[in-house]
Amino acid sequence: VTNWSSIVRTYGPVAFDTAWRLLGHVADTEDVVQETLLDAFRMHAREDIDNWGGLLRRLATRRAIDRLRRRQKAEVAPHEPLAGVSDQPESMAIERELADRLRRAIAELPDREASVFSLRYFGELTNPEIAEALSISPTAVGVALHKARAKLKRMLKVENPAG
Amino acid sequence: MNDQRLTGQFDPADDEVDRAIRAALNQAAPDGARERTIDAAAAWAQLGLPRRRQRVLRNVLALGFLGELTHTVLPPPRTNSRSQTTWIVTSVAALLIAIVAAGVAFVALWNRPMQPGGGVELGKQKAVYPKIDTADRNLSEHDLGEVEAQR
Repeated sequence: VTNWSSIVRTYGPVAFDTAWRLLGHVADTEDVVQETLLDAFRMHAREDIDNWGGLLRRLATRRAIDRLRRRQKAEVAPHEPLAGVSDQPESMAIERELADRLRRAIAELPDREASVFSLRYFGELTNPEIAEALSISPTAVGVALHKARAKLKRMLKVENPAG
Repeated sequence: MNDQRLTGQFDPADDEVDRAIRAALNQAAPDGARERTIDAAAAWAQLGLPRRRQRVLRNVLALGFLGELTHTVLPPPRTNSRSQTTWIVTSVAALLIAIVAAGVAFVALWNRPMQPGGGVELGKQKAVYPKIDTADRNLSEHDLGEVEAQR
């Protein structure tokens, strides 16, 4: 018998971190984490789950990207109070602006590229782990990552031509 | 196709994306946000309800009929402004619908004609006039005679 509460306690933080890095907004992250856990709960009712960490990262990434896109459509850019590792308010503001631009750009990527990129850098999975999570080949992961980075670079430059 | 493309690795000069990734990773969540989210998620998970139904249930309960239950059975609503706005809008909409439904029911009962011999009912009594039998000539003549006599 799976102890659901202990799964939430053990792997919930992983889902939170993944969603938070992609969204940068607490309320959105809370929603995504709850949706992710309920998705996982339903999946668990249908099949055995071997890798809870990988599953929750994948589901959280998927949900967070959907939410980024909805945010983009609604043209809403929610902001949290500044809180980062930097002690300088100005550099914190610049960092947050840069992170927000990256999030907007990710929302514009095709599904596979957005998922691979997010799992690699925000879910902190390796390429073989991403390949397993998305049921694609490691080569396809590498190609998607390459394309994603190239597109993001272009988009970030378009948004900030001076940079 | 080179190795870079296969592994997704880029040269150090290509740092715009890396800087943006670092910026996103450095953005810390507010204190306690993660713990609160996990606690709430654990509570909701135990209920096993889909999120939309949870919201509806919470809003219905919050209308006031079972207000206490909202706090004893269900986790408290989150305090972020956006979810509170949704909560308020849903509650006000439900309240308006209830008021309109009550108004419609009241008007329908008010306009309902009272049945002769029936019990006391809500609503005004519609005037019920006796039928005049036009064939009763004596009554008409009698009435006219009285009027003329008064003149």
